[in-house]
Amino acid sequence: MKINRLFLCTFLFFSLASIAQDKLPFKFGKLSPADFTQGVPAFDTGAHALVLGDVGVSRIVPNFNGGFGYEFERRIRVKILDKNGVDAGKFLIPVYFSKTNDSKEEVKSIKGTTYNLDAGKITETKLENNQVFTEKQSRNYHIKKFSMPALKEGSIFELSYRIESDFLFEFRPWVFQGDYPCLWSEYEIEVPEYYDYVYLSQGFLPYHISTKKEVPRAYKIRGGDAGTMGLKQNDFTLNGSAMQKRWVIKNIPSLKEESFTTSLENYRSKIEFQLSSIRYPNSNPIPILEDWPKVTENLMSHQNFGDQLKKAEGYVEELLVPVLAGITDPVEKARRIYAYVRDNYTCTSRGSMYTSTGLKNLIKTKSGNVADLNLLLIAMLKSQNIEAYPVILSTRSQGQTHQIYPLMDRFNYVICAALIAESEFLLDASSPDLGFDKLDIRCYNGHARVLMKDPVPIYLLADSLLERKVTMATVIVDKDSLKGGIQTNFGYYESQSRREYIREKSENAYFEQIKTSYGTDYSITRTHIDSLKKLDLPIKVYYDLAIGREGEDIIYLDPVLVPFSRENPFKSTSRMYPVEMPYRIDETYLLNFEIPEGYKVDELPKSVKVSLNESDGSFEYIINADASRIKLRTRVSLAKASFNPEDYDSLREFFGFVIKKQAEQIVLKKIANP
Amino acid sequence: MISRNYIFSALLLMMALRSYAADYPVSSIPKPLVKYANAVIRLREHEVEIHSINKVTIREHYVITILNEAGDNHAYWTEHYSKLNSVDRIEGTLYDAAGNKIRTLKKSEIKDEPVSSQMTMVDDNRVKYHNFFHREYPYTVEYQSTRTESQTMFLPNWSPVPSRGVSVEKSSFTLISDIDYQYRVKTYNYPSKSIQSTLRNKRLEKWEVMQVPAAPAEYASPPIHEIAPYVSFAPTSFRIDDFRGDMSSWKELGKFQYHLNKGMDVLPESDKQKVAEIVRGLNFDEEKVTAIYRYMQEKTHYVGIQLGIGGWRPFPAEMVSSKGYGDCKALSNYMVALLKEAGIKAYYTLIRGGEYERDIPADFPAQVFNHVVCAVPLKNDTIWLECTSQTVPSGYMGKFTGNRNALLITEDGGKLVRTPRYRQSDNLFHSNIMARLDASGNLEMDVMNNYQAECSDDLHGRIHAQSREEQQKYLDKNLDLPHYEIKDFSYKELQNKLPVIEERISLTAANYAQISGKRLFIIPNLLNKWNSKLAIDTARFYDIDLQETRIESDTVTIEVPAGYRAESFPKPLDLQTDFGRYQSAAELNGNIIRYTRRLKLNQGRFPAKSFNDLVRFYDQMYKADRARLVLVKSE
Repeated sequence: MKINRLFLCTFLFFSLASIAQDKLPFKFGKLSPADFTQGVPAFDTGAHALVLGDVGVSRIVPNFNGGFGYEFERRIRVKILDKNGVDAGKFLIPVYFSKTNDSKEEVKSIKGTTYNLDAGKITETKLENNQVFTEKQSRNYHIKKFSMPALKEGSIFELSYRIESDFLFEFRPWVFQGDYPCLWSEYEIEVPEYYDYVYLSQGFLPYHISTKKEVPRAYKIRGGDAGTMGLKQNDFTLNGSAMQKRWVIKNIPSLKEESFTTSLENYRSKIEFQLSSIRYPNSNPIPILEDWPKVTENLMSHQNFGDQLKKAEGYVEELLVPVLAGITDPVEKARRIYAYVRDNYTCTSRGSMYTSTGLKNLIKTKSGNVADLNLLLIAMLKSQNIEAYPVILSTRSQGQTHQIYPLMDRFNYVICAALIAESEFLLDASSPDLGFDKLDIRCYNGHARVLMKDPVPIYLLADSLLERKVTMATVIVDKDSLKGGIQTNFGYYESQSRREYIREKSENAYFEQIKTSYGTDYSITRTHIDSLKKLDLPIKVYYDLAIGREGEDIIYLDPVLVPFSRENPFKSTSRMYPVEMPYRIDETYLLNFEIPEGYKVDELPKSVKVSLNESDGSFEYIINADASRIKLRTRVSLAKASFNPEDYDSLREFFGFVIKKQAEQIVLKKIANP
Repeated sequence: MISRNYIFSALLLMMALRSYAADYPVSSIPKPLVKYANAVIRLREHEVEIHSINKVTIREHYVITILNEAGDNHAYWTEHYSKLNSVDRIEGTLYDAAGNKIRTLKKSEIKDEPVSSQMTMVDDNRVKYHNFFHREYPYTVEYQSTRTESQTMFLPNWSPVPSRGVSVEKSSFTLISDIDYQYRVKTYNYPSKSIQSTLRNKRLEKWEVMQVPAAPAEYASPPIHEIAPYVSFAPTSFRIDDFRGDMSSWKELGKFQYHLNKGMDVLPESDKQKVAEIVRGLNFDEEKVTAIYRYMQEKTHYVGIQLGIGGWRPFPAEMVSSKGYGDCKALSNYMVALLKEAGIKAYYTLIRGGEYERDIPADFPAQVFNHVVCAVPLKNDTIWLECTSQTVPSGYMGKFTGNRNALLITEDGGKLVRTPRYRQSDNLFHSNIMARLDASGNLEMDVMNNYQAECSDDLHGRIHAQSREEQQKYLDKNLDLPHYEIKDFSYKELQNKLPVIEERISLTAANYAQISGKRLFIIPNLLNKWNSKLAIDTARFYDIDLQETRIESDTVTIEVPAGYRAESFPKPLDLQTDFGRYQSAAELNGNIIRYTRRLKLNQGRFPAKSFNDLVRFYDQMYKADRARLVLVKSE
């Protein structure tokens, strides 16, 4: 009884809600002059055009090849808010054809009308078929291109089109959040009981409506020979059911670029589908989306992945003979092999987890992509009986991977995990500036997968990286010049970028750049870099600098020669999405200043200590002086690399304070009569 | 006898080719060609054979050694094609540093794509390209290709040094034609004369360069086309699609275009009425042009649909009117038609758009245009209209189309004219800032900036492309202050002879000045700081080519808390150089700091040896613009 009542209540609630607000607030094809009054929405005041309604429906239905395909229908109404908004009337519709069989897509009945309000009257201009162009990009990919006619500031246009597709593996996703803000974005799908899809929904915006309903369906299967269902008849009817799902999001702002985000795509509101299994009547279910062990098994025999490792077994060992002569310690062996691959093979592209040329060709041409290089590394380690596995991941700019579902198209990079004794080493031989057990910053993008027999997830987090930098300056002033010795111990990643610069230009060019930053009146001497070639270690940079001076009565001194930053890295006053920095920061600057004979301190900045949100970060500036010297120590540190948008203001204020404080001056005055 | 000789020489040629093709060891590149080079063209042979007015064969043999990563983009074989030409043959080979063959090109590796997949472009142009994507340096690629053109309006040009950082061992260009075929040649930076010969009733003319070292990349060096050899060719009579023309003179070339445009200017009735409505009550042609131009700008926008006759004929005015879009040709043709309806004579005008383009020589009529504008010659002046812009003020030609030759298409044929140029005294930036500093160092300021002519180009583009929110975001990020907040801002465009934009911004910069126990430190130049710094170069190769010219004048008034006197103010500065003049001065009157700055940048060509003077000039400005004032409490 109780359960029944509850059910009834819920049901009532839903049906009431649906009456109140579950329908698109206008009808396509029906416009009145009042519809033209719609202005810039308050939730996105920067908009050039506004999508009033964008409605898509995808239904999986029988095609003419004895199987199922899907029909996608889209209707959209857009208001052009200003003259830059006319770009919203330009459409590109990609159309795909299979490379291997006759599966295809077709765009049907593209219909568009532009409405303009001229002196209280609505005029209509139709999109003509001869203005829809088809551009052949390649054999299996065309684009339909067109621009809506008669668009200007204030126009409203409506467009509808239908796509019939045979590609059930790429069931049409829906992007709620696009280039223009939208008042109402709706997507409905209908999927027969024979197909199981995993729903991948992402974004920060809540669904206004998210409903599902089961409906009975009779599917008439037509044409084709045996068809995909393995049934022999040509035409027959299947009685079954289908699941209908519907999602609506209202008042969607457009997605806007912000600094310090790994990939904006992580935040876009959209829904995607992944076919997980097919269950035709009277036959065994066919699994499509596999689990991690199965995917790993497949990958390990894939011709552009694991198969390369197997094939390499015979020929990599001999290459290592000169490399490993006299070495027995397995860790030392791994180091030598890593350095050999890194230093002898060139990585030409980093966008794929699959090999491009293959290992045999890599050895011949000495160049390949990241997968070629790192799989060669794995093959070589294995040839020395070192336990090594591929680790697949997605780089930061690509967006994150899914931890539960092995969605392979989201992975674009492969590195190596070597297990030696109880230690685990993560290796990437694709960058000539990386050291042993170091990864590029771009790899720190959360979930990654080690392809062992039982594949395990690992999490590469920016928060786990600490970039520690210490600069020490010793400055003296004599009669005609100011001189200083500077030493900077860089953090690992800043070292990496300097190594890259020096490798591409030269060490000279690097110091030339430092000199240019001080100005032509400075001289830079005794330059030196420690550990430039020791790639496992960060570098230390040394130089002396000097500038001429006259014997002024007052000396104004900028004590922080190498400030944290001269400008606030967070310039924008507002923030929508989290701040994602590549690592935690810990930067210290130490000054030892010898007060010149005949001068005394007239003014000194005040010492301060501040913290960011109690424990998220801290800044200190400690200065003290006696008769002969001034000592300054200033340090900026952040306890984490990622911050929520709510913390943005305090982060911005914090950096603003650091910059201001580090720009303060010391004043020395000549002693009147010594 | 002749034919036997021919066979013999052909045989020799083949043998020569084969022995070349066997290897291109890097070790044989002369030392001087490696300096400054990312790639070395070992051999390039261009052979253009004009069979008839609608058939030209182009054979090319190209061997290039790539020395490093920066040279990789020269390892592509690329050929554009459309309905008017086709690629008939392509072969390619990859060699290692020692000159050993690694592999040959496979047909399946050739990519074939539309040139542009952007929405704004619909055209027939496609591109085939290939790359071995080899990355072990150095390496050498060799390509041999043949293509056929079915038009002679555009003949291939010869540009043996494609860019900086590329040296040339040997490059030649041979034009083969019937004895009586007439073409014209214009050479640039080519020191010698061509070699002419005849063979089997054909005329051969050959140009060749050898051992050309790479040009280093240097700050503000002259554009590559002013320092590298270049030979341009133009036909006399030509054919494109089904149209024949003559370009022996600008007049004839103009006639051809006039003929193509004929009948394209018919307006629909609605536009005729609209024009009548617009000009009603207007007395002066200038006003009418401005009003009709405004109408066209509001009604249309740019969509690059370029199909048929190589994209050389405009779409009819009627189509632009109904669709509300078109490319530069269609929109300019439409504008000419609208003005004609108003009884104002205007001309469809061919131009070569772009910054730092080679100027079109008056004495060498050729089809070298890539853009169309509309010119309206009035009694006193010509009004120039850029019809693809929805925002440019009537009459203004910015850096893309200003100061160059253009071809008016008149009923009597073509007429070469010059588009307007903006001088130093036209390009003005003026800034006036009133600021107040509080006792804790926070600065509040009201900024009023004026941008005129070329100084307004960037800002014009920005304020028209951005919504207010986007403009605010831009300002949030791009002012030269360490930390600040925009309170309010506005833009106003003034309709003067030259375009002027007035910008007002009010903002606060927290902790802008440092106020310590008894002193106040402040940089009086608040927003307009010189940002370029150059490194000293004692081995500068090329002359210095400075393109920008303008005058900036800034006045800043800062009210500071009472009770301070000046302790350290930089002396007034007046830097007079050939490159420009910089003046700045700051003074304190009571509690008011008044800072003035004036910068004149000169356009021109300056000798390479004066480069370090330029470095110092920039450096001094950089420092002066960041100089701090120190005020101290009066005792």
